Amino acid sequence: MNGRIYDPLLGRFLSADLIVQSPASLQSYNRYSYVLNNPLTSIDENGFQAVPPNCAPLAGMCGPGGGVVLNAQLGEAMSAAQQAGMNPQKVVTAAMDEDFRRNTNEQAKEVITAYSILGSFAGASALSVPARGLMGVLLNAGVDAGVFGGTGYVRTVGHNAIDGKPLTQGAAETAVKEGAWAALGGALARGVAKFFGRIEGTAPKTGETSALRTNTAPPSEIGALRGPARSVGPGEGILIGPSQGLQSRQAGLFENVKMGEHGDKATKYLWTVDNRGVNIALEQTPMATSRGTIVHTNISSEASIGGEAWFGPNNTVTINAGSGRFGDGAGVAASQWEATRKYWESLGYNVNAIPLGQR
Amino acid sequence: MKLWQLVTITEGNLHRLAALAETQQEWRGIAPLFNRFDVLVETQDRAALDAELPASFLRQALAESTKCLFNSKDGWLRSWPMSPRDESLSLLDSLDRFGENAVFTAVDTGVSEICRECRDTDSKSAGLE
Repeated sequence: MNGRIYDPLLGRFLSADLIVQSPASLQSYNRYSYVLNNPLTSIDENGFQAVPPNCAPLAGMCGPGGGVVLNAQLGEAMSAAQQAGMNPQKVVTAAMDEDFRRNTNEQAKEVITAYSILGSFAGASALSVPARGLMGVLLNAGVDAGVFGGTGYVRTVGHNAIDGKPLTQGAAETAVKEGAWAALGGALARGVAKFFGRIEGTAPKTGETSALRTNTAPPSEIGALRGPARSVGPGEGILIGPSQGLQSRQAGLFENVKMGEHGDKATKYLWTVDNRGVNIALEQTPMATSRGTIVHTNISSEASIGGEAWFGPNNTVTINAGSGRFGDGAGVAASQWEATRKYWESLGYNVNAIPLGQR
Repeated sequence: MKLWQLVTITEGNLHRLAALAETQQEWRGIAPLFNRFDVLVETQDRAALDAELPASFLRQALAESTKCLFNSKDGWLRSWPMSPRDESLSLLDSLDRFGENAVFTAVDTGVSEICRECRDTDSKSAGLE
């Protein structure tokens, strides 16, 4: 085993497992046991993960019967993480906060838990070569799965890793400051989970919510792009960008949103749906408009629909179609509103959609 | 109602508002604000933009608007009718019955709440539930 040393006389590992393989299983919390104390049904080739014996690690593929692929790379990553003296807990926790909690697919959870450790490089001045290489592999999987359409930092860091470029301390610090490492941990987890899911067919059971979210353009049912229904006043046509708090998503949750009660002015977000997906920005974002803050046309020059949103705990969001330019004031059909609600849900939110014509 | 709010709900018809302000001696001080509105916005002159307009001027400006609002009697004032039974109101009528905040919000975002207690009692009869 290239990950940990196993003592055959004791029948135990001599160091603790970094991975909680099955959070729901108490055996997972004995970090010195071999294959969850179940040697008749599983083997462990790297010291970090029990797999069924029919899971052959050939070219990173897994045979029928399921199990974990890329075992060699996993061991390499765990070793690299240990060598770098990293604390995986912070980013694992962040990744869990971002994405893990709403996933009910236990099999995907295991993979996410394991690979989220790779997001724990915050504060390191540079990644070790093997870790960087593996990160490239995983990011490739993520890119292939189409999960890196969002955060610029994630994309930059990911591409650097794929290209084999070292991550500088400055980039790491900036990324940490921007909270991008949490996103990276989440994105990695999603990418790897998606990658594994595709190979192993780990589809969620009926009624479960999958954490495997891929970028999806807004469906046509939301409606065609249209210009604002009302005239655009001075300053109202200036489009804001990410530096002013604009976020766009076709998959995954928005980051660092202010939470608030429905109707609260200070925590009200304006949202639109256009080709970029769902776009949000805090209404109180300063802008040289007549009201001194942004309006919907500062987010999108054209949009299919728009309104107001309030984010709450447990990934809840309350949305209405309150926009004189793109919302029900401009005309929105019930089918559009239903498609919009579902699109918000596809990002990962529990959506409370206020009926059209109400706020 | 604030200067910027009236400009918003009249869709930036600045020349008409400036001309209206010139018609009365007591309103003449407002006219230059409409003529310089773009500059006020660009410089974020909040003292001017947030200045409360004389009630008489507001009433006259709204009286000249052709916009309508719709009272659906389910507690909401809207910029479009949700039901054939909705009552059509001019902006001035809406101002008199529901106040300037309701008028501004209904025109600006499409919907304004005017009677919370009416929701449960009238929403069924309005066909919304």
